Amino acid sequence: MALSFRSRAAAAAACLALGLGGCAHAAQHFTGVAVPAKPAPDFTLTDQDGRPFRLASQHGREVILFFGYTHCPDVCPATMAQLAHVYKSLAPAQRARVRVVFVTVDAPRDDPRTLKRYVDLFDPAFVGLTGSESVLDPVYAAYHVWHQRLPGSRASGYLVAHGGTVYLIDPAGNLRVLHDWTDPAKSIASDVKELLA
Amino acid sequence: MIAAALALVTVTGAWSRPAADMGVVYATLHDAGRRPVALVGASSPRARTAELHESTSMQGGTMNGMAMPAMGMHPVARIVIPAHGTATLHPGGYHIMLIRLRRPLRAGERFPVTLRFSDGERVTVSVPVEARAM
Repeated sequence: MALSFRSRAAAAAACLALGLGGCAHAAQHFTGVAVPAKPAPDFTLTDQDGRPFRLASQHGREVILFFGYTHCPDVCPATMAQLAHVYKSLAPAQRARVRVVFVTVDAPRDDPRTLKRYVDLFDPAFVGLTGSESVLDPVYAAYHVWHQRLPGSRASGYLVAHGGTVYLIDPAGNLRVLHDWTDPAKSIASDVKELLA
Repeated sequence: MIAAALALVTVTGAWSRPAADMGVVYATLHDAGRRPVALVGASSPRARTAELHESTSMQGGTMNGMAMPAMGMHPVARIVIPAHGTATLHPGGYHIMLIRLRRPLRAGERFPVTLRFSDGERVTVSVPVEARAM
């Protein structure tokens, strides 16, 4: 499925920003923007049950990574709903080898309890991660996740603008494909399956 | 009010997503009148507050000279429907933000939302909660 210009430009920009050369030569069998396989930057954060979650400990599992915040009513739930559709489209054996991971860009408001209520809305198997800002900042830096607080209203509190890239990390732990949050679930699912093959 | 009696504004295709604390409502607004009308507010018994917001693509800073795409959002005072035209509230654009839900929205249920327009019209719609992809 063809990506929109915006999606392709977005993913390509994120790819270049990650400092990965050769992004323009995307492998033909991916619908997203393929990046030369390199180990995904590792991190250890706290999951929605208060347990440590280390990326490098997910050996043998593909990780679908997205950054957002639970107070976000529009873009984040739209993306998470997309990823829920992707996840449901997988065979049970494939699902067992995939982790959908949501990392907050709003640590002050997203504690594990809040994240649990949030990720459970989409799929109880999804993982929601938070941590102190000092632990999260290097993760944002490593994945080039730009984020910035914006004024909201008294009722909504502050809003957070943030990058809309979906990162696919293969079962060997390499960052492989980038998608834009607007990419169709079918397109993301085809790449997720390709990385499991 | 005459405009209200004429019911120049119609709301179709309203829907919402499952949500715990913050919810969303999307819909298509039609103005059958000869003048533009604006959506100026919304409310629902399920949320303490409802506001009109817009998500926008923005440049998320630069890295190695390359623009990083990102999404921003902000409250808006009104969403204008052109005369004899439509305005669409959709993912990644205009939407109604439901702030501090009184209880979570579950897929399969419906709840009422009242939309308030600049001509004084109020339209209440029954909004289905759907686990749609986009």
